[in-house]
Amino acid sequence: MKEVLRIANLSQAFNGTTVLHDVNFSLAAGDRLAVLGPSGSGKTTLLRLIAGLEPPKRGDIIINEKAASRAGEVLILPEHREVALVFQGLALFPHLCALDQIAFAARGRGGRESALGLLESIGLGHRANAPLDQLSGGERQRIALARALAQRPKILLMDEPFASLDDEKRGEMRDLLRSLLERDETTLIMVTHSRDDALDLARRVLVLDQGGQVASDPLEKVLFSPQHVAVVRALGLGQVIPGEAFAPGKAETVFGKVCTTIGTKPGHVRLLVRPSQPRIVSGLEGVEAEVVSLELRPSDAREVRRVAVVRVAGNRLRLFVRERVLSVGERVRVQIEGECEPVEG
Amino acid sequence: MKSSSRILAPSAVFLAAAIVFSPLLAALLGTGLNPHALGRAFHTAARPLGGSAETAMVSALVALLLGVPFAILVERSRPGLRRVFWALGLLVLMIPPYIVAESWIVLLGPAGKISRMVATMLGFGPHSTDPLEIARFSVPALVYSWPAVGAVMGGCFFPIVALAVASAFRRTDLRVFESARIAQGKRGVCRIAAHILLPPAMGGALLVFAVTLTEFSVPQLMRVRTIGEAIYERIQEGDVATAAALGLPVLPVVIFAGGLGAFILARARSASLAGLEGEVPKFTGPRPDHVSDLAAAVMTFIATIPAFILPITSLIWLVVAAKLPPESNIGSHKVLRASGFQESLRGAWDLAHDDAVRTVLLAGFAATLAAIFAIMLVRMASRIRLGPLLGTVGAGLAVPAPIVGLGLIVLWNHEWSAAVYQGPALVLLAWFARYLPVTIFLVQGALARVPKELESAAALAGRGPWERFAAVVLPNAAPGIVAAWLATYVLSATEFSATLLVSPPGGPLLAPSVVNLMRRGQDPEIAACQFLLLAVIALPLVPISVATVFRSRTIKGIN
Repeated sequence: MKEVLRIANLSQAFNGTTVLHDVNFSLAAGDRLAVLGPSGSGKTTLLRLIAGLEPPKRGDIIINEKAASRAGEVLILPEHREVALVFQGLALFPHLCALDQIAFAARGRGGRESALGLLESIGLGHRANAPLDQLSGGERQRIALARALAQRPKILLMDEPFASLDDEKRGEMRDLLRSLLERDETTLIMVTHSRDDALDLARRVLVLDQGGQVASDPLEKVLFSPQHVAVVRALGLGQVIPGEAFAPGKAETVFGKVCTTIGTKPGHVRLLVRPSQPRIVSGLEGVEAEVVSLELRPSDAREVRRVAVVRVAGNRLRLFVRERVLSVGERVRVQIEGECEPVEG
Repeated sequence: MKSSSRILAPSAVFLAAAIVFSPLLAALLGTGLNPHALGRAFHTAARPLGGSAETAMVSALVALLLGVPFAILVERSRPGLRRVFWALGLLVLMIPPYIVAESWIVLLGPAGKISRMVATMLGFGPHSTDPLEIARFSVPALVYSWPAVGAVMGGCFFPIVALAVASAFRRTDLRVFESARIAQGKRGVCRIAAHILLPPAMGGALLVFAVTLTEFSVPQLMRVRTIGEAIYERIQEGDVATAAALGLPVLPVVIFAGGLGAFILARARSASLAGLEGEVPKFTGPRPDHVSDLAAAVMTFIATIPAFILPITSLIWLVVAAKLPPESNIGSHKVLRASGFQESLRGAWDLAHDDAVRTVLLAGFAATLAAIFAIMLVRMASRIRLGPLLGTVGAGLAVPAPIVGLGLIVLWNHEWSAAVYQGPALVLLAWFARYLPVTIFLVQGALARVPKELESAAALAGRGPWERFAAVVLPNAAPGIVAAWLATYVLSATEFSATLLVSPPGGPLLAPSVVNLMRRGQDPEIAACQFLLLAVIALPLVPISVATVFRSRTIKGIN
């Protein structure tokens, strides 16, 4: 596959504060990258740098094998990058109707005909002449997406594009986006806080934490062997507990002795506990814990499960309640089953 | 583009500063200002400065009393009516204060139509039927006092306070009042309301205070001695050094008051004078009912009495109803004659149509030039972050108008600059020196309200800088830019104090002509001339209204 984007040692700072530090990755045509991380981790800044809306402090951005930005300089202007951006606030033009929003971006690429086709494809052909203030939130999202795609960009950047939609609409938008991206082999970089968006659309994941890159791997690798606490948190893969590795494959935690992966080095470690691992056990197994609260949580979109939060020496752990009914204040014995992976951070 | 901005932007800011401040510098440096003149000026400045301060304080108070309830009540009325009330409120800003002052004299003065009627009704009127005694009857001259000048100025400028307060009110999610009520009852509501509305109200009032301090024409008509009048007197006496020196004590006071007002408005964040549109919270309180509409209507009526209803009533009365007896013409000035409505208007047209046409063309040209310059200046300055520096040009508003006129005369009254000095260019320079900061301020607000993301989106859609400006920035900033143009046009067309000094011989403009005529007394034809001035001011409203009505929400031709 042809490489469409290469980011090398990219850094950015505002007023002396570093917001992005040494980011490196590359994407091929048709790749889909989800950028995850807590608020203020530099996700939006990364998109703005790739779009050419601001010059980086250090590093290079290479688009289609041409240097697009380098330290302090935007070499290819945003209008010539073949990059589209769906802004977090959508940035639709207040003075244009739905069709003209898209036609604005489709000039020289099929014009109004093409814009009308795109409007039809997002199911809004009947709203072509509707002014912006008469469009619903979902319709605006779709128009922003269509406007970006009307540019026929090589790279589509999206900054939390579905943030204001409900779950059902999000699902619809993801399906629509996937079909449009597959049609044109467009490369996608999507900033999101939503695990569902990332799992549904991305093939690769980039996780940022305090401006630094802590993971840039295929989705599968990130899901099955996360290396950093920020990745665990960003994708909601489980909980991280502190422990002390004392022998190969063994560690001591406040929740008792647990198994770890073989390669875990002795000493202080942080261990990933997947949601299915902690259990309430009977008899003398495990360690005694106090039930602090009881919650109902969906394990996925279809099933709601009971969750208990238990506490041992100030450390809290969430676990699915399977067998019995618990009450707050009750003392139970808990055990972490299976192998816990060590994570950094 | 950015590298050229680095050179052009500072040059443009320098040019703007030169236009605004050069008259002041010329007046201070080129009038032979010396310690003796300074001493004389400071010795005589106390009384007029006191008069200016007193009138300014009253005007700020009146503006607060009218502006705050007007803003709150109108904002709580139904959207359709709200637009009407705001239109009426903002019309006040288009009526020159000297016309308002004249109407106060006509209606409320010693021989005023209303004051005499009220005095008669209260039993103080003439008890005789002798026409001479009736003619001689006058009521105490309350209108010739500094509180009256303050009331006129406050009535004229209350929309400044109202705009600031309404802007804060509109951008406030009214749920904050509900949560305050739940937490602390009515006391909590008052506290929150004070926290939200007090800073913009005070900021607006300080601006009114600053504007009134340098006002010249109203105190002169109402016979109150202020610093502006003192400066003008010295210029007429030929003592230009003392005139320039008299401008010095007022400068720091106006700059401090105006700067503090602008600072408070900027800090309040929620408030803005530049416009009422902006992000409106989703929850805007309960739906307005008839009581809210009625309260807003009554408040609009009350607020527009001093500077809209009174002048219009006075002018209509003079033009339509005044029938002077033929014998009163004997020995009077040629323009004084008995006339009816049509006669008056025809007479006014004969008398001043040249001045009116000249004023429309020159003010229109000045406003267009100022708006274009301000747009270029603000765009370039914002690219290299010089935007805040433009605020310093605002200090130019503190320079009293007679000083501007004097400075321009000193600056351009040379053989080599005769073409400028003897032509309308000097008037243009005077208007720019006085009102370019206003144009810049309004254009800055208009352009700042177009989100930067829109331009970024247009850039990513393949549009270059000029296209982005023409297709995205201009259509979205258009209302603000038109407001800036209109404000500059109205201020220029009604400018009197500096224009009087710099008008070229043989080419008088309407505002100085009308004020000069007003000094001659009450006359139907002179009143019709004032109507002519109001028509000149209102002239651009016709195309603007038509354009607004027909402005399509979707601007075609982009593709």
